[in-house]
Amino acid sequence: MAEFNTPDSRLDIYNKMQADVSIETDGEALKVDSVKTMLGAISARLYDLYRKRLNINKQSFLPTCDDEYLSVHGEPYQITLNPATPSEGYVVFGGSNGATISASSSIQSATGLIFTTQTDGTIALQQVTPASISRSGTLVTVSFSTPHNLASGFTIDSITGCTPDDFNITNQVITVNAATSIQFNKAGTQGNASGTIIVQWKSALIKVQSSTAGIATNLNHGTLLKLSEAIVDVNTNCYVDYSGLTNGTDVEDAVSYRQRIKDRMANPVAYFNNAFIESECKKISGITRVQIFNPTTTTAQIAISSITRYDNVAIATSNNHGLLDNTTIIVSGANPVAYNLQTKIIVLDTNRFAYKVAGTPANPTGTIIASFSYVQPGQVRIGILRDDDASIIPSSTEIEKVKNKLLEKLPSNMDSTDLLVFSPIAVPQNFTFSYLYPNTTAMKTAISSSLDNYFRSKNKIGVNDKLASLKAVIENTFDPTGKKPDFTLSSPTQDNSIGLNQISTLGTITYP
Amino acid sequence: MKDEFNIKTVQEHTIIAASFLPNDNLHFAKNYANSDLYKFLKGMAKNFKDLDDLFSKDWNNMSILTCDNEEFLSLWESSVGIPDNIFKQTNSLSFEQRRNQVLTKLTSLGVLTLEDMKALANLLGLTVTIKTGEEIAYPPYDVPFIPIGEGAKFILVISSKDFNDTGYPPYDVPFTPTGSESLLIDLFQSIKPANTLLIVT
Repeated sequence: MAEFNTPDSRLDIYNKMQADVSIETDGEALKVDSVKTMLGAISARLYDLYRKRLNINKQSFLPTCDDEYLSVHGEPYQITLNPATPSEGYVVFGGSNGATISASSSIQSATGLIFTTQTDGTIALQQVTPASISRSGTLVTVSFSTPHNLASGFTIDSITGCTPDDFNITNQVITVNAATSIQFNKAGTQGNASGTIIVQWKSALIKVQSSTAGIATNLNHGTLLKLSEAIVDVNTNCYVDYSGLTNGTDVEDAVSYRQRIKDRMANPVAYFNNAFIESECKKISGITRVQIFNPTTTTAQIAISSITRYDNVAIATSNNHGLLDNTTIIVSGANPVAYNLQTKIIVLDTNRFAYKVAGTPANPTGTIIASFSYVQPGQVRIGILRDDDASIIPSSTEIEKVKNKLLEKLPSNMDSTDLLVFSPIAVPQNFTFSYLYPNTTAMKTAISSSLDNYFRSKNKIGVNDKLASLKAVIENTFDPTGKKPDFTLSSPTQDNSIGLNQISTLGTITYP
Repeated sequence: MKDEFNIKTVQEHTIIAASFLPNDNLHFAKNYANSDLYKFLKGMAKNFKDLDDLFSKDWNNMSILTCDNEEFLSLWESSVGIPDNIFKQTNSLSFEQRRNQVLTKLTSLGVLTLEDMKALANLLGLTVTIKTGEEIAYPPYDVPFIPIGEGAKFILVISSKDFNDTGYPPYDVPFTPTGSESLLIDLFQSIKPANTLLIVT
């Protein structure tokens, strides 16, 4: 018997039916050939019905249903197959000052991908004083105090006013190495430039979206795109900005879809509980992991290195504080004590936050500490990851999408500011091997793949990676010939240290 | 329950099969138990019954309340994610206990109110008292006192006389649940709103 007491074959049924008829009729009925023929036909049809019953039972349960029946189990929970999504991001256009690029203009990549501008844009003259210019070898690095919104491959007009003047350039193609920094090669004086320096270019930064969907529509920063049709006074070449074009995802595969339904059925879902939130987050294409932090009585502390007051606003500095807007903190250790308050804060940037103080006390001294409950009653903190993307860390646009999705279902007694959706800060974990056997390309590829998989599935936000766990990942790697590695790591040599709002990512791997 | 889901005898299946034969001279013996035609139909009817019985049992097994088949119970468990970190699947559990676990998990789906939570506790044989932080954070103070401000309404304090021998102050803090208590608290932790702090006394 197969599953659900289903006979193995038509013959099994025929033999049994023949035996039953023979017993009842003392063998008389089977002496007539046409009776046996008829029993054969009936048993064949009975077998069809057994098979149909087997199929009904299998399709009725998620663990055994075929992929094509998954929607039958998912849709009652409003879990549908996540569609493919287009990529989006920003493109830097160059040209004459004042030239306009209208919304819906078409641009395309060398591989034929089409993108469409989402808004109008006007090319504007930018004249910016850089924070610094320095040269190391032939590499010149220009740093700005705010994001420059440029892209690798773009040509800036000029840099003027430098002393020594061999830092000055005209019509220079640049490489973007950070959101606030550009680089180019030009031999000359080593060290820093000084003077009244102006960096000038003409550009427009315009949001674009791919006209087709899929992960293949994601493009790295600096990718060259071309206008499909010429626009007066606008350069044909344009470039993907430093954030890249992201968010493009393929149609969800059956394995992922089945898992989401299983998660929904396996985890008791009540209104806005953890299982509900995770299920809602994963309705956004590309979200693969959701880590939810509930209110706890656990208190965390961070050191405040300085506080500067402007009117009645205290600006506290604490590197990588990890706090979010609306968090309640308790400040202690400050002198004057007017700064020692229980108060809600507003985050200014990753290193600074602000809160109100009474009066005009002098800037405080002392060993100042901010204590806080990482998640306070009434709040929920949700970290999300996109493990199938080149970077697992979601962009601010992706965070916004998830937050908006959850806001649709926000409990009426919950303030939207208490819904804290965040992308964790990546902490690259580098590996250096001092010894590896077999030291082959295949083994190195296998180890790199194992580590990449670990940092896209096993590690957790706010949790240190144990050195033993990382070693175990390597130890349990097999190369294509079935060999396991013998190795020595010169780094890491201990567990890493991951902050509450951080997650480890795979950094560089150096093999011997 | 409709008749079509009832288990039928071989004789009933034989009579049903006979009823589809014409009432003519050729088939006049179809209702006589000693006739060759009736015996032939009875031989076939045994095989109709085999399949029909399975359909009827399937109907029962499609509901966890009436499921009595190991194969179906395993599918039920797998569908609702048992075993997990709350519900175990061990050889020491009887079929009935395993079925109750599935039922408890299904009951916990869609729990919304404090009354729903109390009903879930009852299913595990426990009677609980649930108060919000607001109810106990202000005078007259109860135990435990939770000096919390605006977040008090997002705190649930669960207590029960069933949780320990005395059930009255002084409470054993921190309370360490075991058995059904542990199961219930794990369930409550998983179904409570994500922005709510659960305190067990």
